[in-house]
Amino acid sequence: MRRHLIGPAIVACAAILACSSPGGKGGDGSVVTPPPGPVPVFQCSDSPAAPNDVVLQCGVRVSASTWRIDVVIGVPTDSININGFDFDVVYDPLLLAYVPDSAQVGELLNYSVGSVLLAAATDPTNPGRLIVGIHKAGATGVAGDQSRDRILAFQIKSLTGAPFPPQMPKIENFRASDSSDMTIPGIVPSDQLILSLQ
Amino acid sequence: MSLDGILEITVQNSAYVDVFCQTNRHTVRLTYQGARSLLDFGSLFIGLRRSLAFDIHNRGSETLKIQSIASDAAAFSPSALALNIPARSDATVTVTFTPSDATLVTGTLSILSNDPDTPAVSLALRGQGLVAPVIRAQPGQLVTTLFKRTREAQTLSLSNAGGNNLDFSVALKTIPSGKEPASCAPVAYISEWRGGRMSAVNLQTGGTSIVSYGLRTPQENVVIDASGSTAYVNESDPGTLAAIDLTTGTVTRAALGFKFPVGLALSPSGNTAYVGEAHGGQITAVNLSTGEKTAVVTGLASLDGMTLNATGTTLYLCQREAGVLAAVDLSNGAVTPIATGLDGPGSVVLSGDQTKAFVTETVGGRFVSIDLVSGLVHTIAVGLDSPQGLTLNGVGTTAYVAELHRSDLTVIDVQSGSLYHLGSGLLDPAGVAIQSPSGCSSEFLTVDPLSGTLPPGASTGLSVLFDSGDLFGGDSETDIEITSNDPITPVLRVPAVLTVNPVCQDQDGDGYAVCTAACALSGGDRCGDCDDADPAVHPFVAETCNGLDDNCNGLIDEGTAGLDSDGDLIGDSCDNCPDVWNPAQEDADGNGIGDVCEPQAVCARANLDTSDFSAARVDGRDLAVFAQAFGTCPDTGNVLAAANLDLEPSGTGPCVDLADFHLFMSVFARTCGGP
Repeated sequence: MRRHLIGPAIVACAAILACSSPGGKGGDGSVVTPPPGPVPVFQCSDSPAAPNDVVLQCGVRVSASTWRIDVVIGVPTDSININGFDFDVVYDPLLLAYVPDSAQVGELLNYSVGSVLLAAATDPTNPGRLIVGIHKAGATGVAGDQSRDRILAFQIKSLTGAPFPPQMPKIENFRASDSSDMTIPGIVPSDQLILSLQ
Repeated sequence: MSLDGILEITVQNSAYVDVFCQTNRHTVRLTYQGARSLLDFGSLFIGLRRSLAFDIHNRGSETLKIQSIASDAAAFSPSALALNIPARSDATVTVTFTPSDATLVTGTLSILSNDPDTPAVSLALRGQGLVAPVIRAQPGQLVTTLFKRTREAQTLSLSNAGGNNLDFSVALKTIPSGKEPASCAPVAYISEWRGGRMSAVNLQTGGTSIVSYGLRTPQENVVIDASGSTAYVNESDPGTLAAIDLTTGTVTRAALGFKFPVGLALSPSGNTAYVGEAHGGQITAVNLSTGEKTAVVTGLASLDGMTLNATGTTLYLCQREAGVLAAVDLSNGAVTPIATGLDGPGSVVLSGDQTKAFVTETVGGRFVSIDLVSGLVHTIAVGLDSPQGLTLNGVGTTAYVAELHRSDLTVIDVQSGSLYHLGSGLLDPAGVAIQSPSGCSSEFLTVDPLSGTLPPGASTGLSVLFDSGDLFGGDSETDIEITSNDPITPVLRVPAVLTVNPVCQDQDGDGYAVCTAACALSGGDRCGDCDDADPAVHPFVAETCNGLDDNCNGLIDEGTAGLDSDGDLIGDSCDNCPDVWNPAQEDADGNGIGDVCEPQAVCARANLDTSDFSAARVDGRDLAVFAQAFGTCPDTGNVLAAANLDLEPSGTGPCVDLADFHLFMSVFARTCGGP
């Protein structure tokens, strides 16, 4: 019974202390803290890739301001001798930025024998253009299938905390090549990735 | 003789003169004695003296006592002031005129004696003083040092500081060397094809002597090393390069194993002989110290005689059956035809100024000159009988040609084409080389003009040309003797000394000299120094990491300790471009980064695909090309050399590997400015 009486007394005391704290002036109603508004979210959306199309797809959100983007080819591919890709990813450099050294080789080219040479760097004169080259060394090409459709992955981050409308990074200067370094005309890029901060 | 001074003389032939006299000319001399009333000394330069004599005759029976002989002008002085002349005898008195001013001087010589009839006799004196010409020469001595076969012009300034015209003439005086003139004459050393000998022909006397036996089919190019002690000639049948000691005649073989060697040239340093193989079609460089052979050029047809230019960079060679004179750039082996259509060109030598080649046509029998720029051929002499080897004298005015089917040496005036022959007893003379014996003075100097007149106060420059020609080392001296009418200095001698420098001097005393074509080694010195002002720099010294070629092997800091990533023998800590093979460490802008490592240089090498948008940047398309080459090496037969970005030429380096990829990545996505 004694224990029962002590508990409410402590709660009451805490309530009194809170009301007399130095920051509390609510008693007279002169300053009111507004309720928190909605926080902008760096969002990514995409669509499935049609066979032989190379698209950018949302990978995983790495942090609140960073997405891993996958470069994916729609499978199954017609070509069974895919050996490399060259392309630029172009985006608004005022809103988005490539995370340096984040590019990694995907499964498509990296499962058979031979080294995969990957180079990815932004154009020194244009930070909104990521120039990518990824090629298998040697003379054996590959085909894309369900388990091997990712060409490479890289991270892109939002440069601003202010909301911005949907952005669609583009793929330019695209070229898929076979083991003879001949262009594979049936493999083409398609832009469908949307990034926004809303 | 009458007192009017007119003397009538009749000249008549004697009885001994008749129609059988061979010379219809006769000289008549008339002498007579008369009383003198005037001693006229004429004009005389100040500083000179002139004496005239007269006789005093005593016709009496007593001694003539002359108490006084005196002149009233100081410029005239008698030889005696008083004298006694015995009865019926004579005495001669001399009066000397010594002008001290440029004026007409007159005076009277008074002679007082005890002659009771004429106790006083007077003699008029007259002389004109002139300001003398005074010769001056500047400089007082002409000295120069030249390498062999080089010339230098100097000016000897001659002036007249006197008051009258200076008439001068110039001669050269050769100071004897103590040797007989014939022994100082140049000598032609001649290889004898059929005789298997080498003989020497004295170019002054034509005397011929055998220097060496024991050669086998010695060919048409004979060269003598810078020291003048050894001659080299190819023996075509046994395929050997023979060295003949010109003092002892001993023959040794410097190199073996050639395929019918004919052409032969010696590098400026004397360390390397270039041997042309007529059957092998190859030019081989022979290290005369080690005998090591290195192929320089291959695939040359009908290769015959050849010679090397003065800098040792270009070989000129005859292609006998093709009728071509060609040049070979020794830096890259490139062969450039100079003249075609020759009729069996055999041997070639260059003019001293290296603008012309002189060639013998073994088939056509001509001796021609060829302009090395235009290739134009000028015939100098024709009708030669299978002319083979040839050489020029030091000044290039005379050619010595070995005509195979003669037994003597042919001497051709290059200007006129006129020729004559020297020597005797030669058995198929094939090659010829000349040299001047050392220690002999020679005509190394020419002066122009050789005479003239200089007005008072005037000056002129005499052009003095030193020409070392084929002189060997040492001093050659002469005097430029200028004879003039300067009374004080009638002969002015200006010494001229030419030092022919045959020695590769070791300036820094490190035992190694910088050798050139014109010098020979002295003492124990050796060639090969690349900085003769730094004793720490010379061959075989340990290379240190200092950015210098310490050991003079053409490489900088090679072999220094530590990791050498690019295999260029320069440790990474010293290497101005550790990832790229650059043994010479070129750094044109001096920024410490090797030229091959400058970003633009790497960029240029990495821009492997230059099509479309990839033209001006290093991107994925270049990576595609790189990937094609990745992992390939030269011996796979599938190498794409362009992808070998680290430039390594040997070992594992030339494979296209991660080292190259790292270089590629260093410029990936760079704008490189296009192809």
